[in-house]
Amino acid sequence: MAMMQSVSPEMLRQSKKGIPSPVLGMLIFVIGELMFFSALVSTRVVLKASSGIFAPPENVRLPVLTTGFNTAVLLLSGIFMIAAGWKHGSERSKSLFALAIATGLFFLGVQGYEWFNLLSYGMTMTSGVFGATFYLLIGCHALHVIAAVVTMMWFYRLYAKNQFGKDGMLALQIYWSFVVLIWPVLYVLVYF
Amino acid sequence: MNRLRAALGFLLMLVTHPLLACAVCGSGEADPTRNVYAGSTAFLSVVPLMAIGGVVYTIYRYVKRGEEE
Repeated sequence: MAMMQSVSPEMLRQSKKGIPSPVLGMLIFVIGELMFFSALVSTRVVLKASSGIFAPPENVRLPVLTTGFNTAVLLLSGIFMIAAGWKHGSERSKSLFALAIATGLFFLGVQGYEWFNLLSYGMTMTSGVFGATFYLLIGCHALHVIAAVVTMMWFYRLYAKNQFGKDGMLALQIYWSFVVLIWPVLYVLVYF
Repeated sequence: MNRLRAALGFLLMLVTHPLLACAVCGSGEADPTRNVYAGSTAFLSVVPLMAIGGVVYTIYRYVKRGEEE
């Protein structure tokens, strides 16, 4: 209590000079995530170089065009999220935030449908090194998208009641931007 | 005698092959796996440095902006 009383306006002004805690925390978290995906990407590249046959099972063809379209939808979702941050606090920002969530859900839906088809054609995690690394990489990304979309939905509820600050929004934007921007790398690496 | 030993040692250095003591080096220097392994090691070494550098730069920008206001 004594500490709180001793905080002067000058000290408060000084404290605003630094980086907001949610943003710093998210940046550190994203570094960890970046290393995680870098390790997975390296694993796939090394296994691809060392294994003789590195392709999906004979009767399976990866849906390159559909996933390409889905990639564009995810990038659009990232743009919506950035725009929502720019117009923070306005009604338009809430609409853009909702659009970012909707396009994220669309991406997940298409990914789920794609996985369902691939599994029904017989491509599983045990379909050689290709299948194992495909589901590991794409699955880990899908888990991140699910976590991000659920978090965004949670915070959208708060945002609708004007209880979601600018720092929190920026932290969420950083995470969503990471999830969105890592996907084209994975897409090119896995589907081509 | 010492000169003879030195000459023999030098000759041995010329005729021996380098010992490659890593899991993927056994198949020779032109092996693509070895190159990919080296490339991915370099990549994984650079990524954290760049990421931490990015965070430090972001903090610097925030502090600088705070001072200007």
